[in-house]
Amino acid sequence: MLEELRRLNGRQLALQVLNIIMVLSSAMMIWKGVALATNSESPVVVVLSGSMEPAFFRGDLLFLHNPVHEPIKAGDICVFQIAQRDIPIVHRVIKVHDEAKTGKQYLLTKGDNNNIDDRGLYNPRQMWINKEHIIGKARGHVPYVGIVTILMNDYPQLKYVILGVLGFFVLVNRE
Amino acid sequence: MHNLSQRANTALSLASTVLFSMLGLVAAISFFTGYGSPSSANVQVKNIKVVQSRYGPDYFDYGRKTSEFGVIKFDLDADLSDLFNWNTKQLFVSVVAEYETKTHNKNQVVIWDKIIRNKESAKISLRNVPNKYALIDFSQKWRKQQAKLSLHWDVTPWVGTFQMGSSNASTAVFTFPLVENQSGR
Repeated sequence: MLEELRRLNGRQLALQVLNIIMVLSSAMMIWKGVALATNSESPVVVVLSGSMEPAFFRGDLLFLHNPVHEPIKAGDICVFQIAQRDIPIVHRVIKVHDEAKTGKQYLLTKGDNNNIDDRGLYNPRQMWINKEHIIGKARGHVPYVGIVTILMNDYPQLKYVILGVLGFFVLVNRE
Repeated sequence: MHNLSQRANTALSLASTVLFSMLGLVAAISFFTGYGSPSSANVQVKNIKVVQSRYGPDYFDYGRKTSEFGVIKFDLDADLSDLFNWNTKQLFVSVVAEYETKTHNKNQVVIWDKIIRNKESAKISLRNVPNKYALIDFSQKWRKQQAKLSLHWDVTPWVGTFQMGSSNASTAVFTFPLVENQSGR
């Protein structure tokens, strides 16, 4: 393999590097394009916890969208992020109160597999979440496909191994 | 030249293309054919009273002894087995109280829910079910509020989009009474 790498001249090497950049930038553009179309900053998420079992298990992939003019309803499965927290949560909405004057939505969520609602997960004394906390409504899912992400989260070294191997093959693979 | 890595590459990309096309096809078929509607779904309010307390049935502390909780009993008759087809993983069924107040034009409070995982348990007939979650308004007062109960279902497929539906609520309209006199609380 290294032989092959050495055989590449400067021009070919530059082409390979440009190819990699091309692939990465188109992936980025597709992601951002879908984010624009769905109005959700993260249109595809991986389920990280078992709190929605048996509907979703760890590693299931969820597709989100977040239409501006469609209010959240009771029973919607929403991905939301509490202020100053890193990890978004996927849970079902169990209470909805829409303020008549402002249209502001007061929402309460709960995981299907949890015994109690999410007020314990919100910030102290926070009773409700609002539309600005919502990243998106789950519209569809594919089971297990996101398990690679979970593995990479659990074993960070795996990420570098996979990236390294992929990068190497892309670099040495001609034509 | 066909070396090992090229063969592996071709085999893997074919496998993943086939897998994802299949998943896409399954999702598309279910999206367009849908899951139908249940042959019957009926909720009936049997008893409603209002009590003052700091806690509802889910023990969240509302901090005021004068918070008003609805205590409801309902009957539920539903045959949801028609919603089970080859791509139904589970049903999430909930009973929702809906009402309008002066300050809030849409209010939905889930008072009970159940996960149904197979067709055999999709026939539900329950009597005098108490509310599982707190039936409390945003203002924590009921003031003879009128509300209606309905049954909602959310079909979770093995692969594909979720589909929701609900029963006709006009048959289960009720009015919250005034607070009952409290003793020993």
